[in-house]
Amino acid sequence: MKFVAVTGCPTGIAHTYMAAEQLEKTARELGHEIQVETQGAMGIENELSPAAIASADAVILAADIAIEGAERFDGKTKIEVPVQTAIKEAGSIFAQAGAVK
Amino acid sequence: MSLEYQFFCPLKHGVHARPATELSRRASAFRSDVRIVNGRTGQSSNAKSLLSLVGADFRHDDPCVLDISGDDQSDALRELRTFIEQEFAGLDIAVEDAVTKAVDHRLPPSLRMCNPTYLRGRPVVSGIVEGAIVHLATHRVNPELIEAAAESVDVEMDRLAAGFTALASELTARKARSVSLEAGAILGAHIAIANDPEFRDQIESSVRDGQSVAAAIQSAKAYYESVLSNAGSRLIEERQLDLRDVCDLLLRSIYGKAAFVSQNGQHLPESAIAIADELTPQQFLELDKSRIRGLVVNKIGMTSHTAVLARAAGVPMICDLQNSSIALTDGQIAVLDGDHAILLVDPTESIQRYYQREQTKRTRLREQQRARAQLQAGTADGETVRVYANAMSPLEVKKAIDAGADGIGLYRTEWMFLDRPAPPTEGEQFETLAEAVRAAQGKPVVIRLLDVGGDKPVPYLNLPVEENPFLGYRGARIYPEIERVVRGQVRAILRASALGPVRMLVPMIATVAEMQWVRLLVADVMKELKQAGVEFDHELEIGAMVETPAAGLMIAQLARVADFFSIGSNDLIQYLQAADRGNERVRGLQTPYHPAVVAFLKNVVDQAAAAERDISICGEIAGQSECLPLLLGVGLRSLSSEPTAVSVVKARVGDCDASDCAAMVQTATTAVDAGSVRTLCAKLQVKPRSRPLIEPDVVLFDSTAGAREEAIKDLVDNLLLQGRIHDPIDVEEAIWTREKQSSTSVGYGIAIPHCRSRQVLANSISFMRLTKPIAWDETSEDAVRFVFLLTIHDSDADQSHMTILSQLARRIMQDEFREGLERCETPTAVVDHIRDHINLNDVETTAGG
Repeated sequence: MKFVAVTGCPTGIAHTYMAAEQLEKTARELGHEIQVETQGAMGIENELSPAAIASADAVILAADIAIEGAERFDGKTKIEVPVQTAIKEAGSIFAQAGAVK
Repeated sequence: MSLEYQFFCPLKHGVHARPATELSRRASAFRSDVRIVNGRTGQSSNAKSLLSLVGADFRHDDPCVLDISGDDQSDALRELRTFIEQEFAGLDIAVEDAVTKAVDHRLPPSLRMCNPTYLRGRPVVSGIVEGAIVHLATHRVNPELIEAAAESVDVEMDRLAAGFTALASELTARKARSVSLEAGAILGAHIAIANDPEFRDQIESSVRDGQSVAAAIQSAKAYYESVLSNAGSRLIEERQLDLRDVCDLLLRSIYGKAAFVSQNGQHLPESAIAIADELTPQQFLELDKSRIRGLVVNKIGMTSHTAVLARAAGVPMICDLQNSSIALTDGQIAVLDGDHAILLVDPTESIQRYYQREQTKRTRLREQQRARAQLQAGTADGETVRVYANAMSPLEVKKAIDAGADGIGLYRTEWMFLDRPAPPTEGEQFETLAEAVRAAQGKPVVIRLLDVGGDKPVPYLNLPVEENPFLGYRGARIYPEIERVVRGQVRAILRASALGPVRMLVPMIATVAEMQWVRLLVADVMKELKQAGVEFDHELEIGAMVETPAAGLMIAQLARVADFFSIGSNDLIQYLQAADRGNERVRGLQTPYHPAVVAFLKNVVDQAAAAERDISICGEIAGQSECLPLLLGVGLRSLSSEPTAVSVVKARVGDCDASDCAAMVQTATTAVDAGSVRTLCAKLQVKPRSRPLIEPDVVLFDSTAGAREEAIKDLVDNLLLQGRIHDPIDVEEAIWTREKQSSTSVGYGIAIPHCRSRQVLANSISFMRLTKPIAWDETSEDAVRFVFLLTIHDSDADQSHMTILSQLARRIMQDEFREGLERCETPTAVVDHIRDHINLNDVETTAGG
């Protein structure tokens, strides 16, 4: 499957990036494709293009903050989880995505 | 016909003990009756009586009339009038000496989380101690003694006279034995009360009316207590304790211990936290300080003499406990935290662990400061700066050297000459100077020759009272007239020069001839000593003080007769701007930031360098660290400050870049006003040095922390010790605010607490490996073994360090990185491992420069 994701946490120092790393790593292990946008202290990095969003099967929003540009995902299948879940139980997120699909 | 002089009370805090003591001393020098009438209250008081003066409740701007009658009334009027006009207001300062820093009401989060039971007070003396509570027995005058019938008036009067004599010698003996300057000064104040004429009159007249001595003393005590407590000034009210002390000592010197109902030999536990409703200075001096670890006194003001003594003795103390609903019983264990002004009762194990950690941190901080203070101070760009101290007694020399001073840049000798009927003998002076030189432990001591004038009356020198003593007959100008006195001092200094490195400094130089006169005298004395076979330093250097603009403009000529120079900035600034430093109205001009002062100082230092003469500065500004860039910028490389400022100045030197300071001074000399120079100076100060994000000193191995609070506290304390953060409480709060949002335990036995805070001086990644894994919080099940603490400056615009942190965050999710971390056995290995996986170089080369 093909995913896009956004991660973000209140201080934007650690969890945003840990979640991104974990989502990328887990997706690789499960044979999925993923692009993760981080919204941390450095602002938005690895920003998702409209094309990437359009082609994704589902959107993972792993954030403890209100993410910027949420309207970009209107109409898409969304899985919204706390950032901790992405770090600790990334596998379950992809499983959930499969089920939703 | 009496003489009158009208004035308005110039003292902001009213006539409290300090100005009253001085006024009564001055007035007592005359035979005439000297009274002051307070126009606001109509009360008339005896100006020779300290108690009468403080009791008359003179407040700021009260209209006053000085009324003098007697055969020396004209002299008395002239001198007292000059005193009131020129010096009285200056005695108002330093009344807040004993007040501690502002209360810090914040408890550190790591302590708060231990849920302590505590009572809050006001801070007096800082420090932390644990001990058993003991309520000090109250000390009461024996009522039977007071009620006993009086004997004949003659018998009672003789008894009283003998009592006053015994009291005087007891107080003098106590003063001689006193272990600190502070105790000496307070005992001096008690001696002043014991000698107060009104006080004695009051008791004597009650005895003549048929009272016993004991009853008379009690009524005098009650009378003055009510007078003092109605005085409307906290500063005066607190003197009640001093009065009570003197009365009680007088009773004891007459009736012995029988005068009091007291629980003799009250048992003190080995580590006691003593609680008393009130405690007089003498009672404090009598306490067994080997057992008293801390003090809680209910009724005490912060300027009380007892507080001064406790501070000098290093006994933590708080006062005015609130929340009396918590009962305190003898034997109960408590922790006295003088910094937060709390008394914690029945400390739990976690509280005890907190304070153990806190003590360890403090000990390390103190050691660190002490060690740093002993090092040679150097600027960031490698210029050596010598930081000397000013002192006026051997005890102060010792304190200064212990505090890390590189020597004594100004040893004031005036106090040996003041307050006495005749000049000190050469032998007396030598003894004191020898002690001072020995106390300096081989470090140089610059001894200044007698510096007095019309503002510091020395009766036996017969100096005239002058309209304008600061522009008058003073310093070196009076030496030819008092040659014998100067000769004696020069002999004493030369003899002391055999015992260690000594230099001689001549005050108030305006001409070459003045220096020349001293040099000839010194040469003559040297010849005498040589003939007598007395040892001294044959090469003794003689320096000139640069206090007059004249001296500052002819350094080249003075260099022919002066081996070195010392700038006396207090006087120099007042002379440059023609602004009396004792005059409130022109206080604004008394500033080192005036562009003219900066230009003048620069010129003086440049001339001294051209003449190849050492130059230093010994005024107040040498101890003000905010002035440091200015002083370094004009080219000064040796400073002499008050002893307490030495370690601070030394530390600050390291923050300054001498070439930046020099460039700043170039701009400052052309600035339009003092405000702009001050701004230039302040801008230079803030220059935090960039440090690597991670170094072995922020890696803590084998931590014994048993809980999240302890781990965070240890990491934060370590950052403080490494100079990477400023206020640890703020940083801890910021970390805890983040902790409360969601768990920072991320699995794999790793936690990443982090924060942004303005109190961060250098962004850091700290690492801690725990001996025993700990449960991080309620929500995360796996125990934490590794802690990364990220502390980032709040307004940090530089994003490059964020790249590093995001890389670290990502690496933590990688097995290889974690497994490597497990294998690290030393702090250096941890740093290397992190550097291997994260590219730190870019950031550290750009930010580290």
